[in-house]
Amino acid sequence: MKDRETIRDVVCPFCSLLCDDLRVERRGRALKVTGNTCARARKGFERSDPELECHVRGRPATVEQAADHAARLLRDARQPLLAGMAADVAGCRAAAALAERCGAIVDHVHGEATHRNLRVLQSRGWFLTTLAEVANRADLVILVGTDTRENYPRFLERWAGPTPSLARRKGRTIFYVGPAGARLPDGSRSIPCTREQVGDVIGVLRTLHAGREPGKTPAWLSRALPGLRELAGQLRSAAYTVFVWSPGELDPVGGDLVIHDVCELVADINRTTRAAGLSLAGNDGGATCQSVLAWQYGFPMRVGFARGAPEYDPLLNAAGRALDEGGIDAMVWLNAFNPDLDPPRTRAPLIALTRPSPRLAGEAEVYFPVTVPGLDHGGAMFRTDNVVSMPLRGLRPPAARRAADILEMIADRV
Amino acid sequence: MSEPLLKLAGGTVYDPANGIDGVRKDLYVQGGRIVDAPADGEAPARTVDLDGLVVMPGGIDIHSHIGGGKVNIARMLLPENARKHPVEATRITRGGTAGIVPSTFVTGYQYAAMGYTACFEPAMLPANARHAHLEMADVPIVDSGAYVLLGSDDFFLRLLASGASPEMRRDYAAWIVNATQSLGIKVVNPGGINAFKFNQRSLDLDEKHPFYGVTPRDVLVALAQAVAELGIPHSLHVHGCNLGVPGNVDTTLRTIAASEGLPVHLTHLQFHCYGREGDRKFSSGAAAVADAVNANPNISVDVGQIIFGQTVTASGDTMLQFGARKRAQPPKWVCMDIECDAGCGVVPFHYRDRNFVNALQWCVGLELFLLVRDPWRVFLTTDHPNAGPFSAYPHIIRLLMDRSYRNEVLRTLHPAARRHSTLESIDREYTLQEIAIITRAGPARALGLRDLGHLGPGARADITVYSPHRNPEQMFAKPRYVFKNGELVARNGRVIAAPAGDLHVVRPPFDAQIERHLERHFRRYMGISASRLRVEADELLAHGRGGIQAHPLRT
Repeated sequence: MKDRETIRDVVCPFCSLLCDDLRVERRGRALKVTGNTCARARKGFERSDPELECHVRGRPATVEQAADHAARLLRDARQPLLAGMAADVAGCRAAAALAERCGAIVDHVHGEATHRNLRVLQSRGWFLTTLAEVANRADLVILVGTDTRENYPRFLERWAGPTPSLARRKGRTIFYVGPAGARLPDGSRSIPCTREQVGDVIGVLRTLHAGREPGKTPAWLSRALPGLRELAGQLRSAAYTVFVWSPGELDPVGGDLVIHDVCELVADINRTTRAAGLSLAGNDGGATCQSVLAWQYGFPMRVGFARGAPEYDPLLNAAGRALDEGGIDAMVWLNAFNPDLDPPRTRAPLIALTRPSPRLAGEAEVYFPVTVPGLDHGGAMFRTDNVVSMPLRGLRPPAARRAADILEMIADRV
Repeated sequence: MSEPLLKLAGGTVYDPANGIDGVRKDLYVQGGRIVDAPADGEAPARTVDLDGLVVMPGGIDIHSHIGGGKVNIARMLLPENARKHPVEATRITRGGTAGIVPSTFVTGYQYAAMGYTACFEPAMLPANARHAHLEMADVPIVDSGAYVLLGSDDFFLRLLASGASPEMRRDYAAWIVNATQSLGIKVVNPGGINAFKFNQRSLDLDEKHPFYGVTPRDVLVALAQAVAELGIPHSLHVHGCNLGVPGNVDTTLRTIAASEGLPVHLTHLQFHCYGREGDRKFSSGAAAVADAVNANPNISVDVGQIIFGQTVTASGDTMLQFGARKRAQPPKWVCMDIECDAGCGVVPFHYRDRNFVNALQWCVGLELFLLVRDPWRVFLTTDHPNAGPFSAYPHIIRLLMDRSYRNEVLRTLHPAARRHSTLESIDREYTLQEIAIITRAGPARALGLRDLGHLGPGARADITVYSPHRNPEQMFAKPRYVFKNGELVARNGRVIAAPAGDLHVVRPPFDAQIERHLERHFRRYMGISASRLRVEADELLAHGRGGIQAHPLRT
């Protein structure tokens, strides 16, 4: 490998849009994104990964010693938890095999947000679309309580911008419903409200779209009515409306109800014209984890193997609840992308596999530094639409092992 | 040769591809393949006594939705079904869930335990190809492969609408088959999935697409031509227009005529044989369609037999599935518009024997099996899971082999179905040899798998051994032995070894110019590079795929 090079068309694993057009400069192991970038990509690619050894109880150890120790902890545990699950397909496959072997509960770091979506999927289903459909067909895009700036920074630019359209649509209107201050393209329309009020706005929009008048509305909502009437009219006249939501940005209490209402509205619109939803979710390998667990076991995340066969209980098997009430006595934390995401606090012994983090190496009972998919090695990840999966490739010589390899080493020893 | 020789002694062999119909015969296996009897009396390392047992090639399912996006959506949509069917890991097997859409490991074990050694995913979207392959790599024991779905993708419709040359359409099809590691090409509701994105709610064979101006007939003929000219062994795999719509028998007859002698495979034909006769405006069109199939040797079919009970329909046909949402049971459904490529619709369904429509659908399927005369052109499927689970195959075999049982079941169904169908008057009973044709020899020939589906020297030693029983359902449900590449993988319906299966593909040639067009199209409209569609062999081998078998093209 040359000491420095420019690499084009790099796939970025740091959000579930998986943009594939980045330009990356490499000097030795250091990476710098010099084209088609965003804040998340810069942070992800440009973090300097210290060379780090495996650790047992804060002291350097060989990988075999660490794997032995981790396997012993998992073998002795009555109820292990495998949390984080931020990995590529290979990492998720290996983690699932380990969880099955040691009877663990499995949840993803964004399991709570994902569950808001899954509740709606499992109770009523939905009509969704994918990124290229949005770019080519949507003449009306409604951002539901979702500011894409932080978590999906290039969404508007790449998928809802003034892109050429296969369906020859004449422009597109972007509406935003949610807290003020969101980053929006020029010419966008806004219906400002708090996060907790987004559901009320969608409810009124459903009523108006159905040709009915809302009952008595609070003052803030009455002020928004003219804008909502106009939007309801556009829902009828638009050729293809897309509602975009990010479950993690919705009200933690009623977010699933907002998604439910949006999906009802999409179904209503589809009786006469075309509409679909687009969920922006599944960062940090969430979409990947969900797909792999579903095909291997029939259930998405929050599956447990305590009694052998997989059991799906999205409430009891939530990592937070399991840690609070579930008698977790060993936790594996798998996080190959962003070491700033902390594992949940627990008194149970922690087995951490993360992108190199000296802090966690000191804190965890067992620590394994792991490589980053798409930077240090190839692999595959799923995009937010759960349809497209992107091939990743290694850009630099790896300085640690793949999470999948370590998880297999541990499983072999359990 | 250093590999140990296995002798399978004295079984009664049904090997239709080699003209062997119930002959007592020894088979020899070495290096995973069937070999000639050793000339100089070389002693086998191991002999298995099959005296009195029935020997067939491993079963081959030509159409079963075993992997990819819509199957996985079905799993996530219906956890309540999977919860009822937990499967625990053993020393040899992984855990998972059974039920109407089994998880991947369980899918492989169930097929193998039933004597099937290969099954083919019939609707892989290019945009979802990597996913489908990763999923199929997690289906153990059985070989698999996929037909890639074309014909509602904007790129192809633009080619057709702009009058691009047949060579260019062919190059595109060949590029996609190579890039997505496919064995064949499928078309679903030709152009209709795309038309639905433009708010068209139905599209008949000669109706113009609202935006591109081409008709389903144009799409169908162009793709069938491409398949024929490229020499892809499997005919164009066609899910026609108007699936499930009363009166669609006319569309189906016109579709057969539209093929103009080009090789075409009509899949889950049962769903496409409905008339509008009678007081209920719903009748069987199976006889007319069977006549047309009999008269057109370029046509092959699989049935998609209805099985009563709970299932889930998972189809690329968003247009029809959106219409079917009102009949969803339980009342929830998923549709998706997918990536300027195609779509999908997942609608749970409960087929009831006391429901007239469902009962007549059941009759239509059996009529097709019994009225299509050439068993080499009709294959056993339930369009798993759409009409029912693949685990019902032994039951269907009994219905085909035992007329009195068939009529006994018929009499328990909605009485009007019996009156609206000719099924009761059909005397035909399938022979064991005919069953061997519709479940292994025929599918292998139709797919161009020269070393599968038969037991001649050189064939892969995928062998199923049954204990004869007067009830064929019992006989076929739990084979005594199942060998995969010569390895004993299941005994008495239990999996005892779980090696990885192979992937079957074809690699038709193309002019590399097409990549430039595609790359321009992808960067301009699709937001990603066309190269991302390409699934590399190494990716699949790294994910546990046994091997990749590229089959020769027809010359």
